[in-house]
Amino acid sequence: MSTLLSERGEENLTGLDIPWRFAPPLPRYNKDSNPSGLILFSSAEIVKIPGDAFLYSFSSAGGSRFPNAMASFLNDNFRPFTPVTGDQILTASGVTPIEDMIGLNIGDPGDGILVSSPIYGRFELDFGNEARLKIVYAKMKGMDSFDVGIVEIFQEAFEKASQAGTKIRAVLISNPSNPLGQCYPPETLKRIMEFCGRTKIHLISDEVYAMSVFGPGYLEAVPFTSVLSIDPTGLMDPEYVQVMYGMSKDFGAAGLRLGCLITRSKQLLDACISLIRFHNPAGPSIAIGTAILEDKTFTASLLKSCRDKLLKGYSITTRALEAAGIEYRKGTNAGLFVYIDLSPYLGPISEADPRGEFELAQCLVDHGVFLHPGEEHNEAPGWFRVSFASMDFESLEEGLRR
Amino acid sequence: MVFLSLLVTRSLELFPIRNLARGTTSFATVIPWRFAPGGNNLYDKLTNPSGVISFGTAENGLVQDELEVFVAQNACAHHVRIPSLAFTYRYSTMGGLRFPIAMAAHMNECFKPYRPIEPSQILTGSALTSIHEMVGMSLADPGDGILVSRPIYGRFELDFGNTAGLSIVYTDNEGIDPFSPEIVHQYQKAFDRSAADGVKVKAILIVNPHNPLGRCYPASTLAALMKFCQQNCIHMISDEVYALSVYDTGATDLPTFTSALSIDPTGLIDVERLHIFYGMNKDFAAAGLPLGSLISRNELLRKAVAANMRFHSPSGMSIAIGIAILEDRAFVKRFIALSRQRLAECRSFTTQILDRAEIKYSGYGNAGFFLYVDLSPWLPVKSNTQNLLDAGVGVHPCEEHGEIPGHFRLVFSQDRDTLTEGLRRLVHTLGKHRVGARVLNGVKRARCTDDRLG
Repeated sequence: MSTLLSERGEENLTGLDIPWRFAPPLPRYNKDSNPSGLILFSSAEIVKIPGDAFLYSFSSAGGSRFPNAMASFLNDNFRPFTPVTGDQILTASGVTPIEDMIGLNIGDPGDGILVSSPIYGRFELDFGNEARLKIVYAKMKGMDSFDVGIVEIFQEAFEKASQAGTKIRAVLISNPSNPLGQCYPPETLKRIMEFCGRTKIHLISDEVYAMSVFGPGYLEAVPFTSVLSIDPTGLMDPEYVQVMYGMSKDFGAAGLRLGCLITRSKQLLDACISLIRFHNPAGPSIAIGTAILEDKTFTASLLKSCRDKLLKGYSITTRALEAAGIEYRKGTNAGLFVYIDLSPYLGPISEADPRGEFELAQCLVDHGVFLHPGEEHNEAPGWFRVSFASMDFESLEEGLRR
Repeated sequence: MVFLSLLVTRSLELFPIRNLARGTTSFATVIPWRFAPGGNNLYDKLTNPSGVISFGTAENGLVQDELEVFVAQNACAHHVRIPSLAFTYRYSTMGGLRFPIAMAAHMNECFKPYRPIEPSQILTGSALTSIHEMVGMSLADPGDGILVSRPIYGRFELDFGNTAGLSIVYTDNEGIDPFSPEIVHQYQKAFDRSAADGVKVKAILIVNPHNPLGRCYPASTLAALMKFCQQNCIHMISDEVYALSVYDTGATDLPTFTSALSIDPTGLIDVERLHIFYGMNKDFAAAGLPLGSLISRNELLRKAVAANMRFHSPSGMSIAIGIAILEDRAFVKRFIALSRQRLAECRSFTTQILDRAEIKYSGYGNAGFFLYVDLSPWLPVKSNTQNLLDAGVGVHPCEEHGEIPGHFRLVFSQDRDTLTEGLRRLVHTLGKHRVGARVLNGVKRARCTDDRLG
């Protein structure tokens, strides 16, 4: 029926059909009940959290306590230049809706958000589906995302977009980087902030992996620096700095569905509040989230436990990759993944498969492993993100074996 | 200049004044009375006795203790265990695996659908508000309309308007009972008028049981509405959130709840045009969870909504609780019976007080948490509601878009102390400000926005 859905609805539909847009809904591996099921390396979740440690309260802790608990957590761990207060934090049912609300409020349909690549592939859905913003991938020309020279790349991309009629509204970084698993050095952050100040655009820093720095102790490993910790004076207007944080990654609590926008702009905050009815966090989640954050001893031990397990998962993964002669990006010290180079194994290039990645991905699926082709928009084909933290170590080993 | 360029202002579309343009600041501070008053100064008998008692928000505040006990007891007995899996994405995305099964079983038992509901036909998000937005986006394009009769839940215009950019088109009943099959003529008139105005109506939306009138649609009217939709090639959405909140008020000739799903659609409407909203926020008094579901046989619509579910994922904690409640059929039976009893008691208590104070209300009701009261003898609306607010009573003017000015929804599902005090303040304040019986015969189609500004 052609009148069944709106034009928008039809567009949304086709979005679901894009080949390999989403992880395939195939039965998942379980050592005992489904040994031939699929092992997904595509989702970045930490599942191993001790179940007994969670407090539970049904009296809703409400919207006044959680932001203060979060502010306190951020002040302890992000070393902000000016302390964060609870009234600068908007909490929604996840970081994904936060992105949607930011997009709706800082851009018009067709406007652009500038990113380097590779980067989290689902930003284009998060800012695109409803807010209708374009993710503009800067041409990297071999530049590394963390190099201070990235600003020249951004400048070029900004100008090119403007000429093409696309208004860039923000630079978006994920720091620590997804999928590269490294942190931005402070000098690079300053340059990026300067660039945003000059071009009068927002800087959106997605810092969801902030505490997942497990540092294998490389000399050159860069520790986490929050954008909030940098003095913006002379660089950019602090009201244009937007930080996103949540409990899905560092705390392994994606199911809580709690995500925050930290902003000094009351205007942006109010504009997002006007939409919060569509994205309210759940009472039980707020209660649990508050309880976690207020228990600083537990939080510290939880985060340490996460980091230890991440280090172990990383070691298992890199050892298996080395044994198999698979190249991977070195220097990772944060996040839940390793970025690997499977270009020697790519399939033939065709119209339906312009980078040969789909065939490789299909072959892997046929053998019981899922890696998401092209998801990170890397310029060079054949790179895949391997999330090693979304499963227990036994499954990880099995997946790597396959 | 910094502030102007910080946000984007889009040109206002052809919507009523209350709909938002993208990027502009919160309209809570800009549009008077857009939201229920007193939100940040709510009454509490002990801690804030001078705060505002709001009659404006439809929350069932009568059974939270029972919910708390259920959860706490069963937490120990491992019925409401929050499994570690609940902290993962897959446990709750779109409701997960188990919740839709529990919800389907619940609805099959209580809604008596003509054909059993399958779990795959249920999409669950974080509240019905989100479901409204996504369904609006999927069925209609910006500038299109959703047709409703009045009075009706006022926030549909936000839910369908804010981001989906749709208009709510209101029928003029012209004295016809909105629950009779004849109301279809008014729908047709509004549909045609809207088309002439350039607003294409893509669906009708009914709330059954009705908010704010607290009545159920008879099967004959539901069938007539289905036919109307089929003839005009549009969708029918039945918001059935109050389905089980139907109780005995002595009005024995009133129909009880009939779900649109329980009617044989053959010859009436394509099943793919019929969609139901349901959730746990009203019948289960669990607005804080929150969990809202779309039930539809239309695979395309479900797919289109699923495409944006990422923005409205339900909490794993809520899903775990929702599953525990719905799977415990003995508890559900007891809980619903208790809730009904308390709602009936509160309603009766309230109507007695209103009768004594000679405040009229639409008495013919047997469902929901509210009465639709007539405060027209105390016009004008704006100063009237401000007086009430100053006296610590919150009512929400024009929210239900009634055709005749001066009607308010009064939510009585509150604890007895608060209800008593609220009604006392209401009666007392009105007693001081009655302007005499105003004759309103000439005013058939007054727009509430005029009253608001006047």
